[in-house]
Amino acid sequence: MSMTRGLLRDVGLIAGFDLRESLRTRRALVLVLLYVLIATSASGIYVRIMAEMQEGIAALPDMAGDPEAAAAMSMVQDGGYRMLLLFFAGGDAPLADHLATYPPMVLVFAWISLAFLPWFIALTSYDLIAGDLHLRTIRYAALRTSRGAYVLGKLLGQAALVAGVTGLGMLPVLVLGALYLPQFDLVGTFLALLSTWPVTVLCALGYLGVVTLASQLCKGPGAARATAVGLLFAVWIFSLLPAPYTPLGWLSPWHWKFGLFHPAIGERLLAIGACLGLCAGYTALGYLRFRRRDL
Amino acid sequence: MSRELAIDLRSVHKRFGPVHALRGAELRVPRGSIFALIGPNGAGKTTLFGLCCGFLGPDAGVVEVLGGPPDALRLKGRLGALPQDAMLGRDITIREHLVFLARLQGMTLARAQTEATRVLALVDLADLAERRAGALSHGQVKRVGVAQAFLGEPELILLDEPTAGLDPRHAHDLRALIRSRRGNQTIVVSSHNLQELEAICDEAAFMEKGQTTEAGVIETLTARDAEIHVQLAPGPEPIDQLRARVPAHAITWDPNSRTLRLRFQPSPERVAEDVIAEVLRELLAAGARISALGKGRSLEQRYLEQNPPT
Repeated sequence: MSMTRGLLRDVGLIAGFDLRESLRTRRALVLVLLYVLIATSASGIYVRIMAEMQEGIAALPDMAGDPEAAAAMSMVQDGGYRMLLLFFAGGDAPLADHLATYPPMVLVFAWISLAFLPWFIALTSYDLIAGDLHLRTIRYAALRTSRGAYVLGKLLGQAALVAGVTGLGMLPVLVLGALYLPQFDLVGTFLALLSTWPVTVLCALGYLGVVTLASQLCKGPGAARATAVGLLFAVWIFSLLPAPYTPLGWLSPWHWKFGLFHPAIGERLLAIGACLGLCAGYTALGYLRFRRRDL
Repeated sequence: MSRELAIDLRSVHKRFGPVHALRGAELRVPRGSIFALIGPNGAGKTTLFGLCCGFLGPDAGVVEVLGGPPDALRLKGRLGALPQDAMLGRDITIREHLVFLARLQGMTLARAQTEATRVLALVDLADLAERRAGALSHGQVKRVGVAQAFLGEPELILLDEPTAGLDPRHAHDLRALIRSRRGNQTIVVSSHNLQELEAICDEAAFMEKGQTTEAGVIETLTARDAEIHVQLAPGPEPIDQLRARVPAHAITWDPNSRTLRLRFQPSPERVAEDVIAEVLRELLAAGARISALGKGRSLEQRYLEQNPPT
């Protein structure tokens, strides 16, 4: 019992120290800048398109006086949007219907941030362990705690960093929407963004697991970065494989990311469990090597 | 009488790819001693430290530290070390580093802060506590490394070349610090400064090509009780006369350095001081002029005998 408490204490200390170090160095700044840049770009593009669409609709001369034409236009818009959601939901109608309840701007932001997040993580967290091995910084901590606590602490520190950064990424969406969209629902969008935040963080954990695996396998930061990008690319390919190779996709966080939005609680729990399991599994796989390696 | 050991290495082998760094190394470090590890570059000293700290795993043999395997959780707070070439995070202050490491040893925040202040004072860095590690000089970083090794007064401290890169005053202070721990803590020091090791250590082991070639108390290694040397000024060289009249295992004469060496078997009736008196009597009677006199040979001489210049 006390050993577990000691382990958890060490994990917390290492996570806190790692987070503090990340905030002091350019790592956090780079991640924030990249993420906010993407969020701002995505929101900006969406705002521009929406503004032009609203201007175009308003410019139609007889639309206001012709309820049938307005209804037909609305049906066309809604039908196209639903088709788009159905496409992203992989043909899962309940999921597509559920996604339709989110403000479109939130979905655009979530989709783009989930697309870029794994590569951001690969570029900013690749040296999680490998950097400390390279500089031998790890030796100071390795005298005082177990290697397992070290890896878990580093993973937790990076997860906290990613959670913070993805949280900050919501700000441009709210700011740009409020500034440039006349019919922007600030509170509704904020609440919807807040509900997608855990989804983003859970998904990020899956990717972070892959990157942590790479960082434990390599001793040099350069090799760790290349391995992290390579492994992420491989598991992304897994998620695209057709039958009979579909089960390989289960090893990919990409496979589960839409499940995290699913209205059916069973599907959602399965996706949550899969993302957490992938994070733990990939980290443990790397640990098999790391626990025996020379520091 | 068997002594309790802080470090016990038996037939330890370690390879790094094609390099066979340790080839059956043996090492026994008694608790409470200040122990020197001596050897040329590449002899395996740092590898041996790495094994004792658990940074490296042996390919064969037994490594026991403070009565068991070098497991970090078992040795938490009991083992301190100055690892060679380990770097600190550049953007964190040295106080933050030390508090973090002290807390990892199990201390509360308040105790860790007090302990950080104490060890920084030990290495004369109290004024720089709030400075980022990246803004420190090489010598200052080395002193921070020494400071963290003393956090919590661990039972065993391994210092890999602790005075390398230090200015003379801080090197002197560090030697005094190490000496002050004699009997209370076990400290193992590796250094290329053999005079320094001779001055602060009780025991030593020589390493060469991955093996410990000789180990023992400094007095024995330097033959302080069984050898004397006399340097003669230009003038009479009554070496043969001395050989005929003073019983000794061996009397050697180096005409270049004009140094005479006598090795003998000490006994309660005839200790080194008695031999010195006999030798001086004979030399002075023969008209020789004496420039210097000493007991034993320095660790440096021993080292050079084992590793002759090529």
